[in-house]
Amino acid sequence: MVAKKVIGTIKLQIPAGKATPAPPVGPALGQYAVNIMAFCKDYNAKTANQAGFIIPVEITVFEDRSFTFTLKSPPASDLLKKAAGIEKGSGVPNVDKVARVSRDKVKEIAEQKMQDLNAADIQAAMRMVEGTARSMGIVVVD
Amino acid sequence: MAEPQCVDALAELFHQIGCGGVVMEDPFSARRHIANGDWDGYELPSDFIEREHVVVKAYFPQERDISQALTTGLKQVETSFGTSCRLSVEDVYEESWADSWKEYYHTIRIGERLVIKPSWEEFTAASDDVVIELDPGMAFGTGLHATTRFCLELMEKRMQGGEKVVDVGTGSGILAISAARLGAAQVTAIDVDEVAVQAARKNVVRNRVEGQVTVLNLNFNHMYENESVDLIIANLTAELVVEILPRVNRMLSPGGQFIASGIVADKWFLVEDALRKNGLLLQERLQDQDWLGIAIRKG
Repeated sequence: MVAKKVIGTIKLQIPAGKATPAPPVGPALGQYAVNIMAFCKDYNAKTANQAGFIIPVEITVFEDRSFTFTLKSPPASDLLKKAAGIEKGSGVPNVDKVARVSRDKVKEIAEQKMQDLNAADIQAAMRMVEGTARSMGIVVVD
Repeated sequence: MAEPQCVDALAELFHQIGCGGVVMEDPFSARRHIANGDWDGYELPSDFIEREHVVVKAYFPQERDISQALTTGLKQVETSFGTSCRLSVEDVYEESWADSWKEYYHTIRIGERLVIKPSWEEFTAASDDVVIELDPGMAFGTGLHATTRFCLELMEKRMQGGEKVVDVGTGSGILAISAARLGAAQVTAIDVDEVAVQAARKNVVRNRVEGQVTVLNLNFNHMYENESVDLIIANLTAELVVEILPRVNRMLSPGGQFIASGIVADKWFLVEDALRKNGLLLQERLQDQDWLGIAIRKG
């Protein structure tokens, strides 16, 4: 098989089973002239059983405009909400704290997300998850 | 623009404000792929690959005022991470992206005789070619996808002519039009998406099969059931194929056929189980990597 050059890489966070050609999918893929509807069909078929979650996806576009994609684990914010048993974060996180999660749980999420995060080690990954928790009004406790 | 550690928090902020999804342009991740040797080669612009920040993008309708929620939320993310992000706002027009893929969509041959030709291309047909002219617009069904190809190959092989056909989730109308061109007497093409219905109607007229094909904005579950149909085609998902199977079984005439695709290989067991429960017989199964297409006959 002839090797194909990568001409673009796109990361999306979209609701499972609900990709449509509307933004953000349309413009993100359209800029690389990728067949938008083909991606939507593939993504929806492969994430249909995870409805209700945001399922991040990383798309690689080749020079002939074909593409492949990899599904990732839910974003840290979704995993934090699930761990804290809340549906959404706080609108004013500096004042209104909506939930607590343990540092062990933060570590567990960091481990789960380690592959997808731009973190050098588990401590850096944990700092990212803790920061995300703070920005949502979730307090991390020991 | 943001430092990589706060991208999930920013995405969450955009989700909370109510965007339909978030895009990330992440050079760190691209550099990781290059360092790991994941790609055979790459031609990424240097102004992307050399960046030291991630761009997190979300789209909102122009009429919504989100500036207050955005400014407050952004400040909170910055405080939480002890960093600063740069916010920029741009207008985006649909024309700039919606048609760009057409440049790479060309005439394709499927099976023995079927030719799918984009409406903007010229093609000289051989005497027994069945040429379908298509502009899929923003609807599913270009003929490029393995699942559409499976349906077309199975239809070409199994149709005798004169059939009464229902196409469930017609999208661009590609399968319904092909059925008509392969000799079906009457085709009812349905879709729940109005955009698809409009695209399919235009393609039906473009292919001059309005006498045979009727396109309706209709859910399969609301179709009149006391009709016996010779062929039902459904390029959907494994879950939807399973869901419609009992109704398909009731609507098919004895010996009638069901051609289905959009089934991901690792969900085949769901379909296989439903076929058994409904007493339907698998006649043929096509596979291309992750995707399956099947032909079924009612005993």
